[in-house]
Amino acid sequence: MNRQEFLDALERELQNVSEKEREEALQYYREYFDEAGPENEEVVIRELGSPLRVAGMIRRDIGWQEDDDGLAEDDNHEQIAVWEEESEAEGEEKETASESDTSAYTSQGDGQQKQSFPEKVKAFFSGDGKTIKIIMAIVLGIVLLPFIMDVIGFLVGCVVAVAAVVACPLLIGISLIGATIGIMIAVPFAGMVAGIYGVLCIEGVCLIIMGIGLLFTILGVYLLRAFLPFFWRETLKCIRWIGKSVQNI
Amino acid sequence: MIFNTGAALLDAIVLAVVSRDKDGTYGYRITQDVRQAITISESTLYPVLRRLMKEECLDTYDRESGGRNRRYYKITSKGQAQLLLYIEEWKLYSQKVNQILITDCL
Repeated sequence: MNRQEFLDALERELQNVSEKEREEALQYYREYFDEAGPENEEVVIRELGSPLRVAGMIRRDIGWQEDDDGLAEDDNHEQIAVWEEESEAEGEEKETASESDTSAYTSQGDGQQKQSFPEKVKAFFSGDGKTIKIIMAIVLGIVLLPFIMDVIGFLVGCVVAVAAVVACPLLIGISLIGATIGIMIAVPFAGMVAGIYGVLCIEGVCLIIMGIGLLFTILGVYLLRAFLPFFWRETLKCIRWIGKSVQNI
Repeated sequence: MIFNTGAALLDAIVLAVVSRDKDGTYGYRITQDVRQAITISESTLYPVLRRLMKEECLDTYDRESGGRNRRYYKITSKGQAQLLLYIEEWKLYSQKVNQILITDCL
């Protein structure tokens, strides 16, 4: 393999990283070859090792910057950490990171990620192109917002509908009673003009309607008493379920 | 060289090497200097330098030299502080290891 083959292979292997990162890496190695001089080209290539391995290390470093109480590779020997990194990393993160480190660095190519999801998320956002990734996340959130709002709206609508159905009889009852009382009071005054039989008729009808109103009221109160606790419990259950699933994500 | 070097120690060594020059040094020189102390593959250095740069412990600048471009790495004040931390940690650590390996064993 010669210098150009090495650089070409490296460029190929770094296709997936950002152009800036790729260019910087290539520039570094181009300069490195220049410094070593053409007479040392073979030695350098031998020392650098396989371009795939080099690319893998670079990709890993770009992707998993959080991971770094990782290990320097030395000719594919198994990694034994001599140095514990007491860094700003939180205790929990450090523990799981150092457990996964040995395997992460001894595997080839991209390396296995045995980190848990929150670490992945953190690592994802700490890697290269941090700003872009954050922007993407925000854009995604905005795009999904109508959908989320729809879902919430639907759920709220269901609850409101059911509450309305339950409250309905009560409302009907109260309005009926209120209306009839009003009429009953007003009628005698009108009746002075219309005649006693007319008054009695209307009063009678009003009493019947008031009776219906009372029935509705009683039904409404009964429904409320029966279903309110149930709805309250169910709503609390839903909220708890949502909370749990968000935690488990 | 039997003992492998963890990332923190590697960082410390690279920072120390770069800090020796007020104006910084370039990648090839850094690699040669580091390899005087520890045996590492030459390909290890770039990811380390890159990371230190991202963590703002190192600054880079380009300078023309002999008709071609050279990228120099210089230590920052944050890098300096980090290096001092590493040195203190290393003193404690090496002391303890020496205690077990050398003093207690003989």
